[in-house]
Amino acid sequence: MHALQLYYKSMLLQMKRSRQYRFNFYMGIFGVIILYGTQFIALRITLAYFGEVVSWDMYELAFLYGLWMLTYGVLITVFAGVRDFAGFIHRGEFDVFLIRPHGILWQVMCGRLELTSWSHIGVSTGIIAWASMHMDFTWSLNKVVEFTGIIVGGALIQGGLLLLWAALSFWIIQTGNFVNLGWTINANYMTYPLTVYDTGIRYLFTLFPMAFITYYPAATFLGRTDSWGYQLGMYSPLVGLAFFLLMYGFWRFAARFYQSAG
Amino acid sequence: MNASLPVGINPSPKTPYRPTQQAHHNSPRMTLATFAVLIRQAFLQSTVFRANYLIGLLSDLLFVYLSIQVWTVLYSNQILESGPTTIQLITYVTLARIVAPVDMEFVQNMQQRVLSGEIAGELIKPIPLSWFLLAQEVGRYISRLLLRVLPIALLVFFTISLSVPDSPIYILLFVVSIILSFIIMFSINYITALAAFWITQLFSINVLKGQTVRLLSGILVPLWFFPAAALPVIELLPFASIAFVPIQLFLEEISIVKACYSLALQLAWGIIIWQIGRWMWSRAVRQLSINGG
Repeated sequence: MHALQLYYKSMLLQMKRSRQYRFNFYMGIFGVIILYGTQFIALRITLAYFGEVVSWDMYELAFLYGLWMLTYGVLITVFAGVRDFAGFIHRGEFDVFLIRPHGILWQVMCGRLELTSWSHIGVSTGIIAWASMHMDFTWSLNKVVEFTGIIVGGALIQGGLLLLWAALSFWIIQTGNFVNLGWTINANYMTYPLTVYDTGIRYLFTLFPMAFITYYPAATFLGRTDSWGYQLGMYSPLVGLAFFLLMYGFWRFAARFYQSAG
Repeated sequence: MNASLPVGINPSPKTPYRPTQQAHHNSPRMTLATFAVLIRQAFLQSTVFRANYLIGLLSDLLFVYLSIQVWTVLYSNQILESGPTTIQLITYVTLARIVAPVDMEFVQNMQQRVLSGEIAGELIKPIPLSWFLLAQEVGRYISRLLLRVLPIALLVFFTISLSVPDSPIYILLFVVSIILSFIIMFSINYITALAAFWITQLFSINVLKGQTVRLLSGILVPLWFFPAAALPVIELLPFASIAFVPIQLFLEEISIVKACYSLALQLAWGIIIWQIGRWMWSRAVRQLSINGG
């Protein structure tokens, strides 16, 4: 309960700050829209030329893109502190977390609220709505529940990824490259159906479950029974939870190796 | 190793080091030797963080591998008479991913230095800031070409296949084009960095720069696949010469005449953007105010 109060207070503080630096706040939103908008334009140009990718058409690919962006947006709202975790260690601020009477992860999450992520959520919702208007299915209650499960599962996988990079920052000084690696794979490569890649890559992203953010759940959700391993999509919330817990455990484990810079 | 020499000390034994009084004169002493030292320093610095280098290399390798798969699958369904061959496409995708230094390190540093006021120190240094940064980036770029582009290109060449130019004229043109591409990319980054004098957060401007370059230079999608109506305009913009022009030269896909025209256009853009940078710098310094000190 106290933890929630803490989170609420920190959220208010962050809101006040973003109101102070209003120009930066709007610039941030502008930046996010440019960043994802350009990726999406690139996808559209490609699809306008080639028509389809391994029999997935433009709208289905837009759905994949929307899924990645929405799950990332949902997650980064609360997890921006974990994304920038390496900074806490560089600046020696991690020590402070250790002496405060609260869970470390909770403190990291309270430390940073990404308000610009509303633009992720807004744009991706728009893309998904646009895509689903052009595909033949209706948003029944069942579908809404299924969709929510997909988003939660995807967001948990994204969170697990960020926790993994954060854990590695206890040993490696610069983990910006890792965050970049994960982001680029998601944005540039997991927005295509997994079937464009060879078997090795397919297994790689199934075992390291990045394909459970977009491809598998989308194959199940859109009823693409012809797709490779489409049944796996049902398990994406479970996979998400398992991956998140695993990475959380690893992060806790890694924190034991922390040596203060001071 | 004299890489740790402080900046500004002339390493050449023939010309004796003169005390800094001269530094305050308005004619900056930017000899070739100083430039060389700065380049060397940046080169050595970029090799210090081994783990970081390895992660970057492996990431790029993975990106190149995935890109090749995506594009060959996309392209395999397409029957084109006049388009590039599959090997040319593979070459394009490989080079596009790695060759252009879109984001340069100094951009984010600049924001910090302006906010903290450290930038004042740059104003009294004997070398203009732009040349100092350029030298550093040249060093980093050389290290990128040798330690990242070359290994990846060789690996792709031996494991998959890569089309390599065999005419020496095209190789020469490619080298010239790569140099011009670097200068344009540096100038664009320099302008972006100078925006720090007016705004306190460079993130969005930097994203705008990076994504515009990636899209319009043909890094994200080769310009061949853009709508035909948009192409003439895009080819006139400075961005096409960052990746599309050099790679096309590497593929020997354009005639010598057209190549010369493209290079002239590249050169013109390089000069224009560099001049914009100089103009912005003079404006920035005039309106700069630094507290304390």
